[in-house]
Amino acid sequence: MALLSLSDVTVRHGAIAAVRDASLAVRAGDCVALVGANGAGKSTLLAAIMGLLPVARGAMSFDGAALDGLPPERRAARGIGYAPEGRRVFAGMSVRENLEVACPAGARERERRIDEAFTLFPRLGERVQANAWRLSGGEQQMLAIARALMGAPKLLLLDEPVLGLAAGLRAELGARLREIAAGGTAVLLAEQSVTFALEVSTRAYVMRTGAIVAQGESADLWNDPVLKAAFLGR
Amino acid sequence: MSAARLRAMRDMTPRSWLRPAAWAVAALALAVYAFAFADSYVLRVLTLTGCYAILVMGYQFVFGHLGALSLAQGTFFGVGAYTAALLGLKAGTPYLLNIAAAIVVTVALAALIAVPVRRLKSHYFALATLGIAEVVLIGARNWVDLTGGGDGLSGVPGMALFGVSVPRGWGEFAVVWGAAGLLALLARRLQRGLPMRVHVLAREDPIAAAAAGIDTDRLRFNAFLWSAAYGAVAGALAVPVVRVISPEVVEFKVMVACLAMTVVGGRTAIAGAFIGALLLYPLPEWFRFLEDHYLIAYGAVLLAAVVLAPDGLAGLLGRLLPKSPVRPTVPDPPDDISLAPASTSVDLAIETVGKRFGGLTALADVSLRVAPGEIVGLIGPNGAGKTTLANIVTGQYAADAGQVSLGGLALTGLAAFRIARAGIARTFQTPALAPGLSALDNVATACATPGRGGPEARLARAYDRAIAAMAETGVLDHAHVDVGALPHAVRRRVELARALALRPRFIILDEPAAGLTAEEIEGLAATLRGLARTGIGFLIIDHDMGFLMPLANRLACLHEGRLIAEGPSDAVSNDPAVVEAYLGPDFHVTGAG
Amino acid sequence: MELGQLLLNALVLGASYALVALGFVLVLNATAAVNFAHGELVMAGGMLAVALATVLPLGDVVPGLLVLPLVLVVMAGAGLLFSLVAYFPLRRGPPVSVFISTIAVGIMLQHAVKAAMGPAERAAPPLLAGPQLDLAGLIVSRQALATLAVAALLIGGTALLLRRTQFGRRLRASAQDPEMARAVGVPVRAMIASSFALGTALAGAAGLLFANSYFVSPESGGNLMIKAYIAVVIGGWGSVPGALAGALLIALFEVGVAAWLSSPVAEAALYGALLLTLVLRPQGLFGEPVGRRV
Repeated sequence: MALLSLSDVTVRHGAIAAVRDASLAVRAGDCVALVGANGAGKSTLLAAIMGLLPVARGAMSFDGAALDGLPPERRAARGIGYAPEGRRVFAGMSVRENLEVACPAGARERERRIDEAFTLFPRLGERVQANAWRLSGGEQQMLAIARALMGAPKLLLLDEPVLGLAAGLRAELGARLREIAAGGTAVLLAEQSVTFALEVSTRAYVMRTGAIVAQGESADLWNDPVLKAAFLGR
Repeated sequence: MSAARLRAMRDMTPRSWLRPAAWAVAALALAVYAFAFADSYVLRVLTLTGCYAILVMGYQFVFGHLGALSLAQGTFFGVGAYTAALLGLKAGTPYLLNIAAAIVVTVALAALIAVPVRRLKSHYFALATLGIAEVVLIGARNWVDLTGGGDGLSGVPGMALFGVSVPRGWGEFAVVWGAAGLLALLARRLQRGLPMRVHVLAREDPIAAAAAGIDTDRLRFNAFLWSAAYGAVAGALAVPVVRVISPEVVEFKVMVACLAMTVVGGRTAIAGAFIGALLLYPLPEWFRFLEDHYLIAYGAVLLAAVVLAPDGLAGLLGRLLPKSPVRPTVPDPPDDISLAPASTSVDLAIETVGKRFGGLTALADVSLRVAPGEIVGLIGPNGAGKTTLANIVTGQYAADAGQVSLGGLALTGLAAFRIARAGIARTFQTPALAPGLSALDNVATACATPGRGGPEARLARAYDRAIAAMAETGVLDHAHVDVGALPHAVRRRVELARALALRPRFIILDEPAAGLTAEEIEGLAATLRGLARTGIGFLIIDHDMGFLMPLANRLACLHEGRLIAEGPSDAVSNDPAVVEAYLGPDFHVTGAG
Repeated sequence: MELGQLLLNALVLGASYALVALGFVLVLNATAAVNFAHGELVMAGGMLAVALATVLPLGDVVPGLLVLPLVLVVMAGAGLLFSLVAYFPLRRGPPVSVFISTIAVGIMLQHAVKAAMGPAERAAPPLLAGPQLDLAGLIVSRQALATLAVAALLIGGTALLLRRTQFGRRLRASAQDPEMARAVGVPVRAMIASSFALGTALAGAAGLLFANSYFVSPESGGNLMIKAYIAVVIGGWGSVPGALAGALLIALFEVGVAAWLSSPVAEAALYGALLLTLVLRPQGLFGEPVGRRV
């Protein structure tokens, strides 16, 4: 029984069908990657799962119930966490406030989850009172992921988490993501960086011009010609 | 332009007789009502309604067509009223001269204001104009020697034309509504044709407008002055009817009434000015039975109107008129129009360009040349600085270092619209077209260079070039379709046609293949190849290597703001640094080739 | 000592302006729309205080302090109603239509109050009655002190609410990035309605202070709205501390310049200074707050 399943989902951006007939499944505890060049439709698909873009056709279900028509705040309450492309942390608020605002639980549970987040990302703990806009790009990325975890989600949607990160930080982030998945939270990751995505994930889908063109175990995809064609056109 | 061709152009958009007929019936009804049924009080209310219709028509220039929320329109009304009244009272000059003086004084004031404030955006522009309005109000109340202070001055002479005094009541009614009719025709002439289309683009997307060679600052300046002139006439016509001048005419109430009439009637349709004024000015009279509480009802009607018809009543009524059954025809592209660049002897040169945003280096030391007729592909992962480079070349951003030049002409520091006119066109990541206009109208906006002839001839000339451009990109069949209803791939080509209509030497395309299917991408590549053969140089940003590899003569790859590879397509796509930038570090290229 | 007296007067006036500007900027941030009825809401709060003081069965002279909580509650309700009538139906319409709808409600409010209370200027009973105090040569009315205390309490309370509570954090997150706020589970519509309730309650309190220290008439709204607008623009569009600083600056300017020049000249000078500010610093004196979506 898949935690998240999409069948033949089409999402339109105005006149563009940014995602065409995409079907995929994520099981509990999975770490699944969506790879493909920029503009392939990965971000659009994640935003549609979060409910930020309407689905033109197809069906989505999560945790045994349909998601159709549910507004984003209700999807968050059902257990979907979202760290968008470009981080979009609440820039005028402190690190702590960014975490607090995303936690629906009571004060004690909230503190416990914040401590957990700081264990996962110790660098955030060092800058707990700093305004989010003063953080470096990597720190903002960690904050966006930590914020998405504050609702104790069953599924974490991550959009381009390593964009603009230095190599050292990538490795660190990869390790954290594996910890998160090991803790039982499923992860669906959209990534341009194939190396990162295939190293972190167990399974992957390859997207090109709005459609899913290949899927399989991440380890098997490394040498798949479809993958290189999606990026290098050959 | 032959007469036959001009006629063919005109036939392209068939005119319905319904609109003129509706205007005639409305005018007749108003006249019959005024002369046959209205008493002197009602006549006076209707006369002042006409003044407000003129005021609103003026406001439509700046607020409706260009979307700038000016809060000085009421002040222009008041300054016009004061100028005309004071001249009549103190100098005894003829009425027509007073109107002319009112226009001169008010437009001069507007020009004075516009110089510092016209570049301000939205709320800042609104508050600046509001501040000026308040200063004028304070002046009117306190410069007692001139204005009579808060009590104002009475005994303003009535209207007189060429020494003949205009009878009170129906005479004033006829003068004001006659002027309103003439000014409506003038407004129509000013806004019809190309300007209307250009205004929509300038209002909805100033950046795209600049890329189409449109000087939006100048448009705003001109619109502001026209709005002032109309306001002045409205005030100068109203004051001899009222016979008293007091600071009431420069109070914020006038502005609120004008704004409300514009929004309720319609922001751009001339009919909207009349509908708004006729509905809202006499409204308090309709609620007379409520005595002192009539303004509560006025507020309620205003609220209801804006909630029920947020885009104005004119649009609502316009939709009630049946559509013309005649389908517009698409003329053949003219054969005497050439879209090839005038000269193909200079390169587009980008030299050691650098750009920082805060602490982030977006571009560093980037140099790139594009020759006429050449297609250069610019690739690189997300965030590499590709669009930033495009924005620097086309003048949306200023470079921190280095320069861009076209032959001997330095483009660095020029306004975006000047760069477009110098021969560099562009498209955007998401097609930036003016909603509500047809594809043809959108393309024609790029042909709005001043020239001889009236609006008809200029529009016909622009259409000729636009049609040729659309034929070139293969979208002529969609010429009369609203761009909002076009599929994405067609919109891309419409945008390309607009770029082409500028007769550019170089075109910069930002992700033209994004969102297209494989067949559409192939078709686009063929079109671009054909255009390059005419001598146009292309700089194409895209991620789809399947599209770029066979198309581009050369590829350049940006990574973290630096050019990491440049050369023939094959060499660049096999460059280890490029592979790593795209696929991530340590990606092993196996079976390459 | 004259300077001290001037500063004190400016501070009292500035405190009231600050409350007006605070309510205005809260609604502005939640909706990205200018509430043109804000001045009328302030005026309505003042008139409500005047009316309550006469009807409450609390003796001949009801201290303004006792009326304050009632004004806050009633005006918060009015704010909710206001958002339902003038904002939510137009949320998806062109932005300028909210401008008109709030102007329309402002007109209704102004004339409804005129119908109910008459057109004259009215004053509410002082917050605290009693003789003036002499603090080292500075003549201070109890009223002035009470005004400062009440304004400080309300502004401080609002700051605490915004900074220290989950409700406040959700309000700020919704204002900064509504879409992202929804994605982390914040019910943004409810937050917008709450912003109207809070902003209008603060407007009501500001009205009560004005009605205590100065006068209110049904015509006062427009002028107050303009002051709030100016405060927010010079303070940096959308910045809460900027709006408060802007309000204080306006008061300082008005009181200071009026001491030298006649009051119409002082007012004209205020607008002159505003225009100069806009031309020289188009983003306001303190700049727009970071992290706002563009």
